[in-house]
Amino acid sequence: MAALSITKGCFTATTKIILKITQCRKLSSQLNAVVNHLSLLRLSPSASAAASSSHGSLLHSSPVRGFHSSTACFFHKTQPVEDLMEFFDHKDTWGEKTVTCGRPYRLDELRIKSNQDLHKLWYVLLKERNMLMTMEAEYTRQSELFPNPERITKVEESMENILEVVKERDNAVSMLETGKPSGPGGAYVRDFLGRVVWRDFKEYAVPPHVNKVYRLLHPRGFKALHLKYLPLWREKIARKRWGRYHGQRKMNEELVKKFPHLEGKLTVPLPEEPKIY
Amino acid sequence: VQILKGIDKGKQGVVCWLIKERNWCYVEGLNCFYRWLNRSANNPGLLTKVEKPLLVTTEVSLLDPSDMQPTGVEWRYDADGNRVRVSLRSGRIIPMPRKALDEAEDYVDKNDYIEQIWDTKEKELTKVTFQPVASSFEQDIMNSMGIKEDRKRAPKFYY
Repeated sequence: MAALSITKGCFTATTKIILKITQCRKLSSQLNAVVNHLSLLRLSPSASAAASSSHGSLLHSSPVRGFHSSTACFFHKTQPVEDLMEFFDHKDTWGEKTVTCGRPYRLDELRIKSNQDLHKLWYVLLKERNMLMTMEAEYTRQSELFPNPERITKVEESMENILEVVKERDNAVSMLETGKPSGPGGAYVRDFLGRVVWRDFKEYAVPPHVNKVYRLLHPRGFKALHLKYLPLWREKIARKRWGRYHGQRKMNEELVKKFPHLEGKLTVPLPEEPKIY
Repeated sequence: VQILKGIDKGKQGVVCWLIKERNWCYVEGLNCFYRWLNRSANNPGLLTKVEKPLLVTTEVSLLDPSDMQPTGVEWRYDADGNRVRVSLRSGRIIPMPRKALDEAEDYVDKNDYIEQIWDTKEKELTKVTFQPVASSFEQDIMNSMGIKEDRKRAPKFYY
């Protein structure tokens, strides 16, 4: 049975948070204290109404956080949840030594999903990751062992896989439509030493001659023809190769002295010319 | 498997532990060393036998089930499309242990797993919702959400 790690579904946002002080360990009690504090921060209808009374807006029981409008406006989604409790795990897992966790989403499983599904899944995974990181921070703060820390790695792997699938799809569309691969691409360029290297392009907001770092690495008037490095580098490579060649030849001479039957049979290939463009 | 190198060379045993990162395997009861525990002036201590790892690639060889002799092995696909290990000498399929197939990377057995409320159901997982569209991911999401972007994009530079 393929079971996977996915965040809790939407649970109804209640107006009152009832905190059950369970017989968990010290951590649980500490967490409860934190949660109690946080629950007060959560927008309750009365509080929000008071805050936005000047605006005269009508807000329903579960308002979207940070949304104020002067006119009566209902902003409905499936089940709006702005509970800060979402940053925490299920209450029954608090203080547990192990939390049951599945495996990450595989590439093949993500490839059969639509773009909209992947988009939604990304945010689900993001929220899960935030939740796990919050829990990890809290456990370390209490000097306790965070149960199943591999959960974070699994979520990250799932997210990476989503990015991979999206990249594949974009590339496929791009190739079909334009014949060019999607993405920034790359090219063979001369680096600051004049060496011809493959450079993977990155996205910048400014052109190269405005980019400070790029200008330092590729100053104007710095032409490869004037570089002294390239012939010196070529010399070094060639010297090493010739050194090996001569060394091998000397060794062969010694062998022939010892074993005269090898005369004329031992050959050393001449070194190749270093390819410095 | 049969051990090819070391003190227990030539002996056959069952692999009990694997460390994938180092290509190590531990064979039950073989290739061991002895270690004294809690040894002191007063206490004679406890002599324990501990297995040493063996390299999967060179120091250990899989056995052909037909004659129980070490063979070279190749991964091939059988008639049903499963990836199986085939003995190069006889062509016999070497079966995979159930644990190797069912155990996930975090050493949790597939059959022992208890599904939680936060886990994705198999039905939802295998459901195909993909519809190929001739637009980029970003554009497809914008279309489905009804986001219309008329503003001209600032120039981007790639170098």
